[in-house]
Amino acid sequence: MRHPTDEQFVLYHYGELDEAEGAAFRSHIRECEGCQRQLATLGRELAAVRPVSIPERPADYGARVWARLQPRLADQRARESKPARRWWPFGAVALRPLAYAAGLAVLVVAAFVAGRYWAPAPAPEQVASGTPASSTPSTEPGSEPELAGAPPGAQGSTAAAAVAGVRERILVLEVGEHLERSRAALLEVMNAPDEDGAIDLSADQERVRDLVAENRLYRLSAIDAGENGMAAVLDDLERALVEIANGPSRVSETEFEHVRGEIDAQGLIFKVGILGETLRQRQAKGSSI
Amino acid sequence: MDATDTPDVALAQSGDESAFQRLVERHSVGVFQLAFRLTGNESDAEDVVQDTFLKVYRELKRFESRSSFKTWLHRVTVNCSYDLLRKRPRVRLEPIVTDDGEAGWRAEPEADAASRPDRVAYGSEVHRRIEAAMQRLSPAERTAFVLRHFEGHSLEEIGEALGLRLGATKHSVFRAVQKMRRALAPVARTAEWGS
Repeated sequence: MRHPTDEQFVLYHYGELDEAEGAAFRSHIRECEGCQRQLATLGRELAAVRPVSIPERPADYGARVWARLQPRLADQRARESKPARRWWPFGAVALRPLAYAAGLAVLVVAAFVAGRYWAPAPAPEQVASGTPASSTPSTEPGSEPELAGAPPGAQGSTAAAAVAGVRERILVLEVGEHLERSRAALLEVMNAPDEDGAIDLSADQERVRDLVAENRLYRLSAIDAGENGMAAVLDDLERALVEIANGPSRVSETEFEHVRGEIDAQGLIFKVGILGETLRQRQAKGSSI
Repeated sequence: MDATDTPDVALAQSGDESAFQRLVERHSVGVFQLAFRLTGNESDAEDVVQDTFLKVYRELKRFESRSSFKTWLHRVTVNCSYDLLRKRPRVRLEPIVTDDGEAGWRAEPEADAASRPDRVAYGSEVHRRIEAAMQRLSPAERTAFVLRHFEGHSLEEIGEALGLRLGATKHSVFRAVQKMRRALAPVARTAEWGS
């Protein structure tokens, strides 16, 4: 037998060579000192690759997982019990303008209801002081006197608050634009024309794939920033975008109804519109300060 | 099937939510541990835990008890982790303020991410290099390597879980090992492995 290949060394190490190959490998190794050394080196190197230490979970972890999961299961049940319905009952061609009008209506409504659903994140000063703007400094035992009175020496926290403010503004600006692009893409998908009983999503899918990658970044950033409302909407949006991106590029009208139904059932376009409007308001407030 | 799970699986299949809750609470830590090994990231692992149980809930009625519930759950966890790895961008963006006061985003290179002190829980150079190398593996390489090297699954099982042919699975493990060895080469010359 010639010297085994690198791949054969690895497979032998893991006991994955078939019987014949394994026998030939062993017989060669018995005779070849170079290969013996090579096998020993591989074994030592792979032995050093030990499992990473896994972060401990609290004793009530199962209960916490359940608490987070339960609302999603309820959502799932609601979706299952809801009969699939057409997003628009009057035919795809006539509905494109209607859908855009609906989109505009969403924004108008959003302007009124925004803020009721998503409370703006605390202003940087609030974050730094740990107290709401309207409340008086805490005099509770154990409260941080330094934080309550913003004494000298609080410059570090002021600088941190300034950085937090900048991070928040960037997040608000970037996510706002991303939501606008996503909403437009969802509307395009919802209104994709029916051609001979099938819908071609290939052009939309390319755009949606880019949005999935962006969305994930913004969702992680929102979680890092403690923007839970924003993260929740981005989470819903991501699921819909992933479904569209990973689905077949040409689907039947019936299959497409499912995608529309999913987007519709979650009120996703509405939620994305409201969050976008809320962020625009926060951005305007930020720039006027 | 695991005797403890059998009655709860049957009850959950007939719509008993408290039985499903018991299954979730019993297996959450195990699912998290596997997900963490596969994704290498706590927040991603938490996402996988949620996605896994949601998927299990959706598919539970189709579960036919040919394998144990735990084995099936393990497989769903692998699938959800693999899906997440495929979606995961290879770089994260960090908001920054530039020297001239402009706001912007900076791409954080993977190697930097691995060597950031707050991301490194296991200090040695070898472990830092292993973590960095793991982050550079493709989703298929990473999943195949973790399942073969840490979890002791056969290549056949791994291929089945990932939807890969045996040849492709072998090659994924091999490529992962090669990348790992390349990453460790600089320290291999000066260190005695495992000592």
